[in-house]
Amino acid sequence: MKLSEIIKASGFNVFYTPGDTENINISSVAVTELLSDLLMNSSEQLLLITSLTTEQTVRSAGITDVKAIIITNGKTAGKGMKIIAGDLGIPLIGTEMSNYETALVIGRLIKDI
Amino acid sequence: MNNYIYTDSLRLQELVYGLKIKEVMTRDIFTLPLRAKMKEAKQILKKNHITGLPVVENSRVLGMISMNDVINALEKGSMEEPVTEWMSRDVQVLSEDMSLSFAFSAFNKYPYRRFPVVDKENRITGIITFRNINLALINKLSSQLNELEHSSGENIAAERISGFTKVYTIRQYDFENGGKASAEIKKILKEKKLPDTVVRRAAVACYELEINLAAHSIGGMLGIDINSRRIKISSSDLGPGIENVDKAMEAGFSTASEWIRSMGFGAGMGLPNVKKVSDKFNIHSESGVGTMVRSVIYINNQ
Repeated sequence: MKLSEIIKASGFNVFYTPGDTENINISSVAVTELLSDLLMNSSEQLLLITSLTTEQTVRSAGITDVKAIIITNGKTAGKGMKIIAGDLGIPLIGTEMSNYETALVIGRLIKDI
Repeated sequence: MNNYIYTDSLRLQELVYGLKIKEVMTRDIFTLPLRAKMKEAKQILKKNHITGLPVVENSRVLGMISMNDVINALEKGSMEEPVTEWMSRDVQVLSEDMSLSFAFSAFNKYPYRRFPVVDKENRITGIITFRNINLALINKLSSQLNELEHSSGENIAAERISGFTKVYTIRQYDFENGGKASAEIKKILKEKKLPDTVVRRAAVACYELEINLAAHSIGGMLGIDINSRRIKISSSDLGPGIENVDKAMEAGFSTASEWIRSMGFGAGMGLPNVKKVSDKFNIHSESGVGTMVRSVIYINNQ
């Protein structure tokens, strides 16, 4: 599923995007608050759902080739996160929903394809 | 994969006792004469990106000027004053023929970040810092590992045409820059067009070790050594060391503080993850001394 479709259907806020989200495909989702768990996830075209707003979240995402990050619980991405996301070309998206709710919404979207 | 070795031949203490300070120290050093002014000290420190200077007369060390001394003098507008007004006179020197273990003890005992090194006639011949020690230990360990590989016949066809070696300094609690070295290493591996799975495994090992250095050590070095056959990742620090290595290798065991956990780390998966992505893995740690970890990932072993 294209990232642009997920953003459009869910009404998420886009904090940062490196360009055209039309060309970013998502085929798997990881929900975690532990970066070591993320590092062991070898899925491709991975979307990360987390409430972590540290710079290391983006760095870990870069190590594991995460395609986009959804930051939950109404948290916002700080300047440092945005700078690193810019360097790595990883879109940062926000939502008021919890990790669980976000995963449910995206799960339903992917199921409907 | 996952060959977990506690190898006797890589014992940290042997390395520490086997090296002399003069083999490790920096020989090309900057010094200040007694008549030098604080503004000259500032210029030398700034221009050469160093943080301390011995004050010397007739090759004898009479004091040390640190960056802090310069900042204090700057705040008081005393840059025209001689360095003798601001230098620390209580200088601890080390003899160049001492074992490296004496340098370890000195760094543990005194709050200094560098020690002047002298010869038998008490003339200054160099300076030793943490960085010197870390680099030397990484080089020594790397050559030992090469010998081990060679003796097991694995190194016969190893070409070094596309080789790459680099050592990064990782500072304690520097999470702002934590992960930068790993990101650079990942980029280099990608540029070498290595298989995606190899790049990913090596990047994970680098990143976990880099974060461990920032989160759990007083700072240390992350080394990468690539040849056509394998990627070797090394981490080395000078403390505080791991009390129970077996426990540290258990998934879920962690001594991380709440602060570190709040950043998404401290799940007790760092070292187990490095082991998991490695074809060869070894760790040695001494409480109060330091920790060394080596991860080897074979390029054509997928």
